[in-house]
Amino acid sequence: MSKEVRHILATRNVSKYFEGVKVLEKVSITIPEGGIIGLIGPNGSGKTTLFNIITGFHVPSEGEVLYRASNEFIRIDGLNPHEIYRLRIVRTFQLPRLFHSLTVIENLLVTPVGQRGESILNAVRWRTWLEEEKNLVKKALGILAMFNKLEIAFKYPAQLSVADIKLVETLRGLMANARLYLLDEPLAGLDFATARRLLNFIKEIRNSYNVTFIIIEHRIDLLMETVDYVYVLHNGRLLASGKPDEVIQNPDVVKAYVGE
Amino acid sequence: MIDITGFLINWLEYFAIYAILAVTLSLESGISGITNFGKVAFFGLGAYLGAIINTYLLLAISGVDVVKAPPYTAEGVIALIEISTLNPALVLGVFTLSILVSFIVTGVFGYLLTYPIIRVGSGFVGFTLLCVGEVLRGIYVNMEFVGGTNGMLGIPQPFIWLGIPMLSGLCYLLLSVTILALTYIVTDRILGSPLGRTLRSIRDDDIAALCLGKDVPKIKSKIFFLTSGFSGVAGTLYACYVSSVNPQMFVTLVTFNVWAMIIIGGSESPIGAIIGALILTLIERILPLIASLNEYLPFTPDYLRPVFIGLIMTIVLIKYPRGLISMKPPKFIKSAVEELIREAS
Ligand SMILES: Nc1ncnc2c1ncn2[C@@H]1O[C@H](COP(=O)(O)OP(=O)(O)OP(=O)(O)O)[C@@H](O)[C@H]1O
Ligand SMILES: [Mg+2]
Repeated sequence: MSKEVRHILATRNVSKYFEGVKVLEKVSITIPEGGIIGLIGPNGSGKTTLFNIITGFHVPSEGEVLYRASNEFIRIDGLNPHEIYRLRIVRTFQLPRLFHSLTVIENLLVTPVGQRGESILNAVRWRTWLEEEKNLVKKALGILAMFNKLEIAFKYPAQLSVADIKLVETLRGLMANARLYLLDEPLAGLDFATARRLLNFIKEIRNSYNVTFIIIEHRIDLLMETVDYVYVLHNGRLLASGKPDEVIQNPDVVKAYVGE
Repeated sequence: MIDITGFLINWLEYFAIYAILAVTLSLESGISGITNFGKVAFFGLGAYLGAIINTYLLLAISGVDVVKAPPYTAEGVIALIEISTLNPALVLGVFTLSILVSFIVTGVFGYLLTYPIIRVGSGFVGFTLLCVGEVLRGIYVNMEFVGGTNGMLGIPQPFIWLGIPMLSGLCYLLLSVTILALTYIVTDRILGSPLGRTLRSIRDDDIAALCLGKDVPKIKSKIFFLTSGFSGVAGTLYACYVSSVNPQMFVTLVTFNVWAMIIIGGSESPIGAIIGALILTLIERILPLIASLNEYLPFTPDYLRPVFIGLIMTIVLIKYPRGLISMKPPKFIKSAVEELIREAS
């Protein structure tokens, strides 16, 4: 990567032990602003754990996580998840965690942070938040319409198919005006056309807002068409990194996936 | 003959007071997920605050020496009766003040309590609050200036100077229903707002909500300030209605009565809470009438209460597992969406 590239996130020698078991070992990655970065690796290689550390779910046992907040880098390891969210880093969950008593549209609407109607004093005076709410509703509906999913707007998560749950989980994340999105297996379970559409949507968001994506994915064929750069984890260690075609041809990577 | 009007006023007064508790319990426990098994703590605190202000302050302003004639003695009570029949403006003023103080002090008490309790696992919150209620009761028992185990008598009903019990009862009822209406409107608006949605998301999955930037402890603390404040006001209303407080009035059973109301009515709906309060307070008020027929009954009426409540709960829950009234998503989103769908096609 050339010198002029601005980075938005970096991990430095991040390690994580769970009760003595090493799950991540000295992982250092740098993420360029405006990039779509793939994070791949076999099951159990530590991808989700790395997301958990970046988003404040876990504290790293060693190392640090740096994030460019405005113009300088700050350490974000050790912050609470909601503080990290307020720095406009948003993650989605590998196992969707939709709010079961909210409809799909409400699940999308809950995402934007600092809504006016979220304070008690404004909540009781609906005039203060109605305009903002209407705009959010439009945005949410626009997103659902793009995926031909308007008909699920008023369904509860329990009434959805597995693929729709996964899609809503990802779309919910995309409702936030984030600078950095961490998507954990957004394509899992999606049919081919929907998966393509989602990837195109991600590219579109990136192009319009210069935001950054890190995407964990097992559907490598689809992922490789979309990403600019790939990191490969294996047994908690960084095995390789590079442009998609370089990584795919890397014999170590092939071995990690296929086995000896 | 049974005095129908008197019965209605009495029942509706109890209903208004308990409905305030039930509506706030549905907001804090049904919707925000703070399991409050210590509802009586806030109710009792408000009652004692109301009792103290409406006696000590009233006496002090009127120039009675509260050290010589404290309100829990006969002289104090006699002085209070005199003041409350002769000086309406003062009584009403002090009463209004007591409502405000009760709201703020009980609210702040709830707010501060959330600091330790919300950080313990959610399963422990209920029991921590239950203990708070019992501890407060222990404190009242041991405090002489609120009358210890005997409590306090002679707390003036603020409309007593009207002279006609029915009329002053009716005025007090109107006031209580107004406060209930206010509680209901605030709760209902919160539910239909983005805050209500956030509260439900926190109850469903607080970790996911945290990951969506919601400051879960802070939001819960604020809600608990509000609901505790209203519970305190209900306590003050109660103390001035029955004109007395004593520690036995604020046992944990009160908490579970309110829980029964929201379980029957539907714990996620303030209307449900109100319906639950209506049903259970009616039963509570009818039971004394049945008990007065003691000599004609083939059984002691003491056990009727738990039997009745248990029976109603069982029947309702078999038919409506989530209570009589269940949650609906806010209306206007639905209409906004239908409009947009129409535009799109
Ligand atoms: N909280 C935890 N406590 C103990 N071990 C954990 C914990 N979280 C993850 N692990 C372990 O860490 C390892 C890496 O898990 P992780 O979920 O990060 O893998 P992954 O790369 O996301 O895998 P997959 O592709 O299957 O999602 C696994 O062996 C897992 O069992
Ligand atoms: Mg994973």
